[in-house]
Amino acid sequence: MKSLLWKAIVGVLAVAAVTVFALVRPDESGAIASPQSYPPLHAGIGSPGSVILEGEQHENPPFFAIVRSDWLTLGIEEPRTAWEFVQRGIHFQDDLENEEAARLDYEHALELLEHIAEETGDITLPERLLQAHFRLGPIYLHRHEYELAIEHFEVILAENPEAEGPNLEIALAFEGLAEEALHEGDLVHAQEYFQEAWGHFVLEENNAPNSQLLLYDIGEFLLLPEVPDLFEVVQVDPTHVELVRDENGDPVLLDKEAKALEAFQRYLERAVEHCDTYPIRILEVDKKARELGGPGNALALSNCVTERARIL
Amino acid sequence: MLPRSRAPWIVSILAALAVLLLLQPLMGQTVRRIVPPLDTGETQPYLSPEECARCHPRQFRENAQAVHSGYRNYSPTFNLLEISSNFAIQTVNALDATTETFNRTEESENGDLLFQTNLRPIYTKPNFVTLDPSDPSVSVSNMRAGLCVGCHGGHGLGVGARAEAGLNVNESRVNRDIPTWDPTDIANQVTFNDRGQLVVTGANTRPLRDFHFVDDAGNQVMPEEFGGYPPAGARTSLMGYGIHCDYCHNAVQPDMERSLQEDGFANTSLRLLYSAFKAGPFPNAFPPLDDFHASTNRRERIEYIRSGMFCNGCHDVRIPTPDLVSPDSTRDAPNVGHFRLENLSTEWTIGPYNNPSQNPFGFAVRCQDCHMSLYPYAGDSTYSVTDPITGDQIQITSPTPGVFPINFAAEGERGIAAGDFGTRGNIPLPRRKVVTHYFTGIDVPLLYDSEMKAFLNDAELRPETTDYARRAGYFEIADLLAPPGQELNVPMPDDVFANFPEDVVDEHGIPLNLRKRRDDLARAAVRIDVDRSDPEAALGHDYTVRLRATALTGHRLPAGFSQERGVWVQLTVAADRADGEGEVVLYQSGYLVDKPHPETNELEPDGNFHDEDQEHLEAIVNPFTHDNEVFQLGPDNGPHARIFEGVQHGLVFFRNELVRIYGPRVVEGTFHGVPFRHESEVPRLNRRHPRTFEPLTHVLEEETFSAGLTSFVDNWRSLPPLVPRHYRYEIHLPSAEELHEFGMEVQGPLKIRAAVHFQHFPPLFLRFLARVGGAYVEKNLNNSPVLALFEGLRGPADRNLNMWTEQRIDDLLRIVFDIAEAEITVPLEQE
Repeated sequence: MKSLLWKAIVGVLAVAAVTVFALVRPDESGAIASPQSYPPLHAGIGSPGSVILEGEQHENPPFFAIVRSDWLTLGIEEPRTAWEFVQRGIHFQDDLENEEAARLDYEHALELLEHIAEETGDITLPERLLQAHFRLGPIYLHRHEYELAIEHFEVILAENPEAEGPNLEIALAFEGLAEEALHEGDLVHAQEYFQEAWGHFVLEENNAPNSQLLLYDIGEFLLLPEVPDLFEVVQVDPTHVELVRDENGDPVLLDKEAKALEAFQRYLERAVEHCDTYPIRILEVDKKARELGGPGNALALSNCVTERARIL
Repeated sequence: MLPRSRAPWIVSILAALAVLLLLQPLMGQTVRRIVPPLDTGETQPYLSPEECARCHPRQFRENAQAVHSGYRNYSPTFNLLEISSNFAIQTVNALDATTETFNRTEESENGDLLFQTNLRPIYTKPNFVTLDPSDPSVSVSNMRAGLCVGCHGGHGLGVGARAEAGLNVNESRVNRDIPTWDPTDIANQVTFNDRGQLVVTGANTRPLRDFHFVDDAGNQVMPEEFGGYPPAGARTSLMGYGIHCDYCHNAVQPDMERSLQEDGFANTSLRLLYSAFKAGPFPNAFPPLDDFHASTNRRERIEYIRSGMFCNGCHDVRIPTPDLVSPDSTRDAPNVGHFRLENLSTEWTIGPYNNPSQNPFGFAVRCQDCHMSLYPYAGDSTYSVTDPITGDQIQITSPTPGVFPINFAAEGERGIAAGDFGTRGNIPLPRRKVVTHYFTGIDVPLLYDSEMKAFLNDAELRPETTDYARRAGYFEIADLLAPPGQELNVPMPDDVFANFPEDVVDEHGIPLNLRKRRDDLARAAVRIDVDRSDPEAALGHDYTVRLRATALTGHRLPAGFSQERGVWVQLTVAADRADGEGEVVLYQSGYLVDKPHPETNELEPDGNFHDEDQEHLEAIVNPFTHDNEVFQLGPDNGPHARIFEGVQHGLVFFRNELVRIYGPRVVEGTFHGVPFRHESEVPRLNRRHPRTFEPLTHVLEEETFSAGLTSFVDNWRSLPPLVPRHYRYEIHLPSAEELHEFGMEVQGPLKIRAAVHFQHFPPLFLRFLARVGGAYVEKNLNNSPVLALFEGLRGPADRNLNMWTEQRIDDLLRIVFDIAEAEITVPLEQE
């Protein structure tokens, strides 16, 4: 009997509880979808990889973004498209420090696009994958394969003559070629290459007149003992320079020291507000500028090197 | 006869029914303030937070500090962002409308006038807004002064729509409207003044926040000055409160129709039901004393508000304009192209914290587990993360997510301490696991406290509570902390967000100081090491620092407006001077330089580093065209050089990037390399060089700081969670001889120090906004041919909108330094 009473009490309480909540809460109106009825999640990440359609290489991607994806998080076992080969190449180069594997992937990406370009008649397609050219240029420069490096940098300039950097890289490549020619005793070609290098320094200066890296490199280049007399050049369009001539039509010799000093002084002027990743470079440039008869820049030194009051 | 074993149950059930019949009159099954359901299902007006505060004061206090509640609507950053895009788009359309070749205002097949813009309220699909006034969704959400209002206050507009339909709401669009643009007159709104200067005229130049004030009768009142303080007696409107109680707790389910990819993500893709049935985190909540509302028992609705999916409704922002570079697959993005301005929700959804098998905690860590819990104040966990590059197991100690306080979910108006549970019959409520409502994230208000008080004051609370600090509950909390009958001796600072004592905590041990909470959250966000750097160094030789960075955020780092938030690494490589006079810095990256900013009248360095950008790039953004009138790479060029050229030195910067593509490229008369079919499709402003204003014949891709005219977003630059990333600094150490030349000698080991810092917004971006807001008269300091047209104007409206200034940047913008640090020393050979 005692057991029956307990069961009755429990039953009453249970039913009462359920009923109370049922009665005091009329249903809200409005249909409510169950989570299962949601459409599948399409969590695209806005990556350039998404130009892939049905697993095929997009035949005419509108534009290749210059990005570095997180290759390992993409979960792509084997690259399929030019963009994917470039991204794996970046992974090889930046993460695994394997420059050769990277180079092969970049080159393969361009081959893929060339194949598609032939089929579609879109001649500019491989050139649009600028990142492959941006990456290959420095690799070949580093390997002293200067002609190849110049080829890739020129592709970038054909797409964007204002691009900051490629002309400087081409200048360095010509400087490398000149050094090689000198080493082989080929003074004629060395002179030509040095002059070409100077032309590209000038083109770069037009694109990036305030680049401290460029201004430093210009000064250093012009003071190299092996650099011969150079002719002054003037830019005629974004990709070309021509010799400056005097009234007799003769090319005008460049005053290398004056130009180096000008570059150094401009470098120091920029350094006042931007300092440098190598603070000692400011000391070096200031010293060289003074040796060339310039005023140097005490403020650049105090801001960035000695007092360091304005740099965090 | 019944079997003997069943008889007791039958008796029990009969007894229960009898008891129910007896109790029924006491149950009060009608919920008094709930009106019968209408066709729309709406049963209760949209509530102000003060109404909820009666029984949920803790949640009210906490949410009052959340930036999405109130601050966001009055934020000078948000308001100028909105108005700058508005200006830009008006200008683009006006200019294009004046050309024969490109007119973005056109008629649809059925004769409706179509108007395509980059940013706009998102209520219809595809990416055109019909201007048919008979469409109620259009009449309240179409082009207006507030481009962004469709999402940042769309619920308020929805309230207005119901007012028009004669429903019972307490705020009306009729009373408090935001002017709708007349698309046929857009060209007239962009005019040339007597000097030939382009000016955007008319009431549309008012910032959105001007429309957020009402008087006691609920009628809209405007600040006397554009963007200025509200008139005396003004009250914050319901929309002005931003996201508060009744927004989230009215949520029902994802709104697939509203999401561009029909996935319930982004752009407020959630369905709100304005009813008395609120969604809370648990079922069977006890009815409140006066049946003010009830809480839903619907499992799906409860699960929704408890899930990350609920947050996903807003925390992706997908702008409905074709991404020129990387459109989402058309399979996955039916009909509507877009780019991802905010990608936070997607990042979380596809990230490891949402997958129990991919994170160290063994459960799906939701948004709520970090932003509505005790995190990061609930103790630490130690675990290992696998480095996929090296195979290393990295030991990490970080705060534990998903730990919630135990407390009462509600209380009566006199408070639990007074024995008032606020329930029918004052039945005691149980203590249970509750969520906090601070929603602490990476943002803090960039408003002066006086502004917060002016914008968020509520006449109902005056004069007893005369400032925002009291409204936000600081005083009350301080009172609670004090011994009975005594006042707690806690100084009440002027700036409640920045200066509230950091050691004062709430009843759960969480600091009341919002900035302190934000900083602690940031310090839980990332870990770095430089352990894999070369083990020894020699002067005059190359040396490689290897930095490894691991984000511990549920999304990437930074997230949200990740193209403007800055997280970067400051690296210093140094050695002690032999003369004992400190050290010599041999290489540095991520440094800042104090410098003048003449475009906003800072003519001399001011000794403040918080208002400086990193040295990888120097950019000044034109407030009229949104072009960069100055754009040049700096000496610490890392972000560009590392990604483009594979260079292994320079700034490591985890800031995503907005990219603007100027075009077209023409090869023998044929267009190549741009997603436009012919020249007429290239927006006119994108056909000219941003600095020379000469017509372009090639594609120019450049970082932009204006979301309004973005062509592509690179969201890969932020740091992915729980997947260590590697960065190298290949540097060249000077030789001993070179050092000697400058009177320096070094000794001892090479010291490598790395620190991660966080910057709220790039100062250059805020200076752009300051100029948009007309804080300064344009002087064309850089002799830009484009700016010459605007010389002498105060921004596009030729009016001071009273928002960002250089002074505000100096006063309020603060870098959070050293959110992660690492340091090693290695032997240094002298050669």
